[in-house]
Amino acid sequence: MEVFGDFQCPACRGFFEGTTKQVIDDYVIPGKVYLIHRDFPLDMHPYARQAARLANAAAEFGQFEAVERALYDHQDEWSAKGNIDEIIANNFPAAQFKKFQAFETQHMNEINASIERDRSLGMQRNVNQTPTVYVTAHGKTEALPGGGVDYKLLKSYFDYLLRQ
Amino acid sequence: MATTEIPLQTSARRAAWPRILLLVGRVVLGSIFLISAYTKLHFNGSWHFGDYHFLFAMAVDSYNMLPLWAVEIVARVLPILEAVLGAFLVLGVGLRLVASITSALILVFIGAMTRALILHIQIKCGCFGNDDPLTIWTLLRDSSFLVLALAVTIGAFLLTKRRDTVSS
Repeated sequence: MEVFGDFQCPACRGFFEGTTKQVIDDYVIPGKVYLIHRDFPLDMHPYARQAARLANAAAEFGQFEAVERALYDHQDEWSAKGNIDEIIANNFPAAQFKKFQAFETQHMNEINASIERDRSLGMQRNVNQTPTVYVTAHGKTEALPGGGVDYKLLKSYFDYLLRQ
Repeated sequence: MATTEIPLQTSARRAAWPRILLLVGRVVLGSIFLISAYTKLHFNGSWHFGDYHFLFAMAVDSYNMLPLWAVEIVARVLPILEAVLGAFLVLGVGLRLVASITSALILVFIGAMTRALILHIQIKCGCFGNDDPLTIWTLLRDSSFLVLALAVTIGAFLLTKRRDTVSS
């Protein structure tokens, strides 16, 4: 399952809170589904790239999911002023968060390039809204209807695909 | 003799026009419904008789109008219903009833789409496959289908009434 998301997008937060968290618990952790996050920061969200950079830096320390949760859980708090570090730092030990920041600063160009690669991939696939979700199974990729999907419907679909 | 034959032919030709228009209208409308059903059942290069309803249920649910149990029923039934209505329209079977149901169905679609546009819900239309975005143009397109469906419905009732009057 690939999710093209924007950390500042309210629909992405809704999808993460209502669906992705349960997918992680029920399918990703048991090893049934492989979940890929693709960065697709929209131009209308001025702090989305900054948030994506932090999440990518945290990924280098195995903390992508923790930062993703913190970014969505506190989206209202940082999306107005862009004070991401100030808000998200409270969710991590100070030393660990400094590592994220240091990595982000040192590898700014690589991280930006990685975000851009995801965006280009989204453009190639005609992604025009977030979240946009693709499910690949048995060699075929299906685009789910844009804007997020109810967990129960996605669960039925996954269960069907896993039975095949 | 000649003076009586020409008006008869002209009158017969005139009488045939409404039937020809109705035939064209119902075949076009039926084809639209068959195409709509086809795009829901055949996508990504193959038929999806066993799993078409999963993706379509997600599209129906994105309208935020129905409870999940109803979404699942609509997702399973609607593509089949569209195929049956489309086939009956093309074949001209039970035209008055089928055209009436088709008009009512399109009216429901337009109502749902209008509501989504008013509420600024950014979703796919779900009208012709899963990749059909919902925009004002989609609404106008479906409104033109409604005009056609209503014309076919009215035509079906009028022509049948005329035939009944002639035969009695």
